[in-house]
Amino acid sequence: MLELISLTCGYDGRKILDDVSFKAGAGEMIGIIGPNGAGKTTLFRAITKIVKPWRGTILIDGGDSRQLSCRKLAQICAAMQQSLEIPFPFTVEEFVLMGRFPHLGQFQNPGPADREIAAQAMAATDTLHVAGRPINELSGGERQRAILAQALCQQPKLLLLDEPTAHLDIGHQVDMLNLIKKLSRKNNLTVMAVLHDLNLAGEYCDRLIMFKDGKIHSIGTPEQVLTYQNIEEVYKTLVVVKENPISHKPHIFPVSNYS
Amino acid sequence: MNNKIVILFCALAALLCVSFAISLSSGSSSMTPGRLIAALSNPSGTGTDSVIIWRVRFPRVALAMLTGMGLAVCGAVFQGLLRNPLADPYTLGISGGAALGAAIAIVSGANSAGALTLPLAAFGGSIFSVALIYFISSRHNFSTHTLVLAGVIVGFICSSLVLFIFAVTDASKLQAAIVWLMGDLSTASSRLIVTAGAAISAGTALLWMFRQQLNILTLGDEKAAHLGINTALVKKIIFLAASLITGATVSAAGVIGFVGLILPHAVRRLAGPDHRVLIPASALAGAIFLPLCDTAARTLFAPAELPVGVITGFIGGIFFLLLLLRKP
Amino acid sequence: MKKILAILILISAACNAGEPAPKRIVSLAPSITRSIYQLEAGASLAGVTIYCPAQAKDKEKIGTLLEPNIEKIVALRPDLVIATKEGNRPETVRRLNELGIPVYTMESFDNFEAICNGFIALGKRIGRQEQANAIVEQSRRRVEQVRKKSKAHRRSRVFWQVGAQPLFTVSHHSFVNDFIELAGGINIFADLKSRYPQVSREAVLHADPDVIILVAMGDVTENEAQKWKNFKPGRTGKIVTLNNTVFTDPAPASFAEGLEIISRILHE
Repeated sequence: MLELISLTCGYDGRKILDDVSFKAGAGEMIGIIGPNGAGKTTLFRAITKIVKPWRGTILIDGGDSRQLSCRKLAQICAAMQQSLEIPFPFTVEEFVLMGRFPHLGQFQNPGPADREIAAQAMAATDTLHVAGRPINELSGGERQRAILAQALCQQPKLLLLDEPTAHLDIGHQVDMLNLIKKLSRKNNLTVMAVLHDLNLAGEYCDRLIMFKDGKIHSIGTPEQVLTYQNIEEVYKTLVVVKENPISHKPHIFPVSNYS
Repeated sequence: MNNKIVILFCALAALLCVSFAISLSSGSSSMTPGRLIAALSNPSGTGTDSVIIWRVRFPRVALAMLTGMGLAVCGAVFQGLLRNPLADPYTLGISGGAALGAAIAIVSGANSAGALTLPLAAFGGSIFSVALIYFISSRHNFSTHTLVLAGVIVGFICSSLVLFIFAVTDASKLQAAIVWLMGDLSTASSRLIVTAGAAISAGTALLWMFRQQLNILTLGDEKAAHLGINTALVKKIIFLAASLITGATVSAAGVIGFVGLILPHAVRRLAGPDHRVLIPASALAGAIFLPLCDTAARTLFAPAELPVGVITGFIGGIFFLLLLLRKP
Repeated sequence: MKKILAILILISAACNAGEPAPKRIVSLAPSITRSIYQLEAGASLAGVTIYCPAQAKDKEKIGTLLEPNIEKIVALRPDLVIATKEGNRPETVRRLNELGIPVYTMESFDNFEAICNGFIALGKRIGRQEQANAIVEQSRRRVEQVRKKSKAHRRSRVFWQVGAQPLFTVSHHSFVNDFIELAGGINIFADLKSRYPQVSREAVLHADPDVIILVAMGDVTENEAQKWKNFKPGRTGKIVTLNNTVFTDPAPASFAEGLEIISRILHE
């Protein structure tokens, strides 16, 4: 579904990503982890063509992303930013419907079929009950889900989520990731999620890619990637890794040192 | 379309008729209802009453309606484009360029050359500032940040040039320039109205075509790109269309403030931020509001005429004061 | 013989008739209103600006010089509107022309002769040619008298101030310059380019005029006189404040009166 071949890019002469290559298959949920500034957001920006690669190729659904127009790309790939400022009080339904734009003609109004798709997206994200409310009156969790609903409205094959659980309490974090995982399975959707919480990443993702200084440090299943050696090398901190008693996925325990 | 919106548009249409009727019937000459109706039904008459209604008041009201429409629509569009509910048509310094063009025309005496000299000079000035802003912003992919910065800078440069011209000019010419700067709907000639009206209407139609893109652009450049919009291109088109309208209004009627700021604000509260409704509703609101302000300006202290900018400024100030006092 | 004379008189009367004298005049500036009264045509005035002189107190007001109320003017059904090039805007004249109202525009005057010619032209236009000629005759005589008298005196250097913040004076492009020249004085700023140039206090002190004349209007008040005294305490030379509209009124009789006053100031 998505393949990066030797991707190198950056801003204003500063290199951020260096020779990054990996493949992501349909229906996979991949977690992107790594310290701040390791290049995770830049990775998404390169895929969504906000940033132009210096070297390397990005293949999306088999085709070179350079050949894709902005519109065509939006029909295949949806992205959720870390934070989205919404300065005007659109209703949730109006907001979610904007996700249909890539599939409409430049000046075509959304039709009943589009409204149906939006309703389904809202139902899937449990935001149907607030459809008529202004989006800036929603709670943090509801707002995140509404933004996800908009992304789903694009009917993408690839979903990029940049810290989808930021600013959410643990209850909402788990709800959100449950939802995403379910959708990924149900719709055969390829999901790439930047997650700062290593435990959640290990819990939900099929594979993890750990970045260090713009390069891929390790790639593989959570068991393979989330080892105390990797974490010490990349995050420069001591940890102990055990198993989650319920899911048997790796769980990281921090080692505090304040004596 | 839901019921609330239908009701809103019916109300606006009704208010438009009322505003038109009031503006046409008001002035420093009072007429009995009988004479008024006789004059209203005789557009080509040569009697004093008909001349006053149709050749003195009507062009002025028509210009006020077109200008009000243009300013309100541009205000709504700039607020969306710049993602800021406090933006207005003059945020990007277009009025500064127009003022510069007008000041040069008035002070050099070129103004006496012909009826369209001053508006054309003002329009030329606005094109100058728009071109400058366009050029600067293009080099930064037309990002909102650059657009605002470029607009403010160009506005300041033009304003200081205008002040410079004022400082070295004869007092009498200065006064004429100041009158223009405060908003002047009295020079309404049919050629001016048709030209300005064409520009304003064409610009508004084009902007309405881009209503969906405008909605999405309020979410930011990155999100808009994620949703398949070629942000640089679309923003350029929208910017040029809105600037054309603003340039046309300032050239025809001087700098009239607050209309482009308060009306879209108020309409958005009533009708929501969807540009599909916001643009036409703002257009109607502008066409209702400005003629009424102008009517007040020319009747409150008759026979003296206040600049219409004084009335809109006063109302604008009160509006915002009330707004501030309401929300905690 | 009598018949031929009669015919000749009739023919000359017919030739001089030209346009009929206007009966409803709207004046767009106080200076025009004053001139109309001087020409004994006050009765034909239908409308004046809100700044017009006391004599026009009861006339209909049509607004200000810069923003006259077009509607009001139209409602007065004038057969002639008189405007000034200096005080009114070209837009106003154009608008009135568009509405089919004839407008007579008085040009701005560079000197006394121009004022006289302009006054005669105005008189002709409103059918008061005889009165205009008489007034101009008399004014010319008064001016000539002052000129003769001034030849006997030495020429004083004069600074004529019309604005305080910043300082404005007059150059030879304005008729005001003639007040100085015809009274035998020298305007220290006569050669500047614009009609009412702006000058710095320094420039004035450097030029060291014998007489400083302050025309009281706007921000020029008694304070200005005090300011000049402070700058050069114990200086020789006069500082005079004038408080009379004749100095800003571009009409022959006013000019003559003003000139007589200036002459007295310079030669006492």
